Amino acid sequence: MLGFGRQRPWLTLVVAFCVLLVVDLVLKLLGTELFVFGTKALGGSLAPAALTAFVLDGVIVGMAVGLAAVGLSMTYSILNFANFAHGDYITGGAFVGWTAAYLVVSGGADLTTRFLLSSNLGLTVLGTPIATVVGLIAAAAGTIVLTLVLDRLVYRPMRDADGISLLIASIGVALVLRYLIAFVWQTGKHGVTAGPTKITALGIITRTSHEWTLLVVGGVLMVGVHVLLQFTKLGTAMRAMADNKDLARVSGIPVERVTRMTWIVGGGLTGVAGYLLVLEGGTIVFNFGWTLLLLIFSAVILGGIGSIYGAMAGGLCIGIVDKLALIWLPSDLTRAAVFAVLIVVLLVRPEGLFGGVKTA
Amino acid sequence: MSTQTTTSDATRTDEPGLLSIRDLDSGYGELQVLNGVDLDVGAGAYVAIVGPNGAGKSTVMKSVFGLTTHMGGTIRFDGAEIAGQDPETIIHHGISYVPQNGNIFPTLTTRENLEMGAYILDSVPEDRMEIVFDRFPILAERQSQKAGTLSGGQRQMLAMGRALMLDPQLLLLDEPSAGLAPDLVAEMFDRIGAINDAGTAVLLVEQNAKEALSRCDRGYVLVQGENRYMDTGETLLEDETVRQQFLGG
Repeated sequence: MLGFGRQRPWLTLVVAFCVLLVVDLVLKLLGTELFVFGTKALGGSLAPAALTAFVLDGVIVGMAVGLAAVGLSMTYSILNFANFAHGDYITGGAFVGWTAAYLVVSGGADLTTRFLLSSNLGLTVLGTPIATVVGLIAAAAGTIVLTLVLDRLVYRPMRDADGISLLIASIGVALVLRYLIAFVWQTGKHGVTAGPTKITALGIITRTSHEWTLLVVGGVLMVGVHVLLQFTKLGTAMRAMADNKDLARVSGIPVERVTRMTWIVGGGLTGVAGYLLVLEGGTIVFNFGWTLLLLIFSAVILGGIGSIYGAMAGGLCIGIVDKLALIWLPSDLTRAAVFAVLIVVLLVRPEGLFGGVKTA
Repeated sequence: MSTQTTTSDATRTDEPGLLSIRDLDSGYGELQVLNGVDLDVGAGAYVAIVGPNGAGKSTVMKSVFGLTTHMGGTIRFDGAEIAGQDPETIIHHGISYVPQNGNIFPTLTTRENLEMGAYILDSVPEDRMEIVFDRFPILAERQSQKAGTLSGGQRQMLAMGRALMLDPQLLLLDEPSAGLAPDLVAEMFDRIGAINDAGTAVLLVEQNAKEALSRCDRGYVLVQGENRYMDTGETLLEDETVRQQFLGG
């Protein structure tokens, strides 16, 4: 199977198709059309501004997916299993965060309404900054508590079990979590934000305040993860554990403590990702994390399983492909484009973009 | 330098025991591998365990470092009973362990590998780092290189360097010459001898019995989980039975 992707015909086909897309894109940007046998084959019209808008849309979505993917990849590489409950950690964190924001914000709603998010209080970053920030912190803290409690109850007692057993256990955790959330907050969609203000930066890029928030917070956290991993003792120990857990233990690295820290960092990022996705999208529903999980797993796999930088890059890639595909495909089909790219990458480079380098 | 170490054994064996194993039963889960093993390592001594495959040589070492299931007997180190403790505790007593396989962190740089060796300290001991770099100059040259890109010999040096970062009283080496090119084996033993000459006690498990016994103060021949012979390395090398049965004549 491994040699499959290295066979010429595949690679040639993929390269040819990519070249075709690029040519088409250039023609579209130039506003020219190319006719073959009297039918339009290539080209069309696409304003350069539209292209940048697509890319930026992609970066915004990709940032959130990437953040969530980092959390998933960290637990994958250091604890050695694919956590299928990760999507529901995202949902859980988002609900905790938004409930906290609702409890803090001033307004005429009663406590039950606030707690159950049952009417849209129209939060915005600029209109209700304190509630938004409190919610963000609560989302991180809530997800951290959630991951630690679940680790203690479910994963720690089976720490030495194989990856498949842990994976199956995590599916159980996912279901329990999802329907607990549905039990408390119901299965309907809750609108939580009001239309955000548009802000223009650098004189050209205009985005909503919520999209800017996602970009800035996401960017800062990704740089933060990089600094943690590369320049701190804890981060080096996390990488060491991802490399060789047995050797980490005999070197005197407190394996349980580093594991706990991994859940804390990964959980915090996951909660923030969930919270920001809702901030950007405006609505929250009990299974939104679960429906994102496939995309997040794709980001992790695209980047190379277990590679934290790969997860960031994979998330961004997937976001950008998802939005760029709109140039050629109707919006219902862009997910298909994402998975097509994933399949092609896996054929050409089965270990993923950053595969084999793990956390480094 | 090897001749010096092999002649000093008579006096070394009378030194107070740093590590003293008595009647050790040990294994993995339900499986018992060691059966009543006795072993002593004096302060600053150089002791080798040799014997056929599956004799339990590595298990002795793992038992000392708390990586096996303790089933009976005592392991005293520097006056304290350490049997049944976990590695995270034992490393604080002054014992470091170099496993045979997977003894480096491949995606970490050489320097980061060494830093991880001193994880239990509050800060990286730069003076120890210098000592390790003096002992293995190639590691200083390669300090910002990923450990996974080092050659076999360099990896083994890095593994020992990592273990030396805490300046242990006792260094446990599991088959340090395994997988090395023949011309590197003697060099590796020279380096181990130098570490020992600097005052660190060494307990070594080796397939390469002739080389190990010719260098050590004292050797143990382990067969089927039991001590079969114990003497100075030199005597064991000259012993007809040991030669015939375990050293291939």
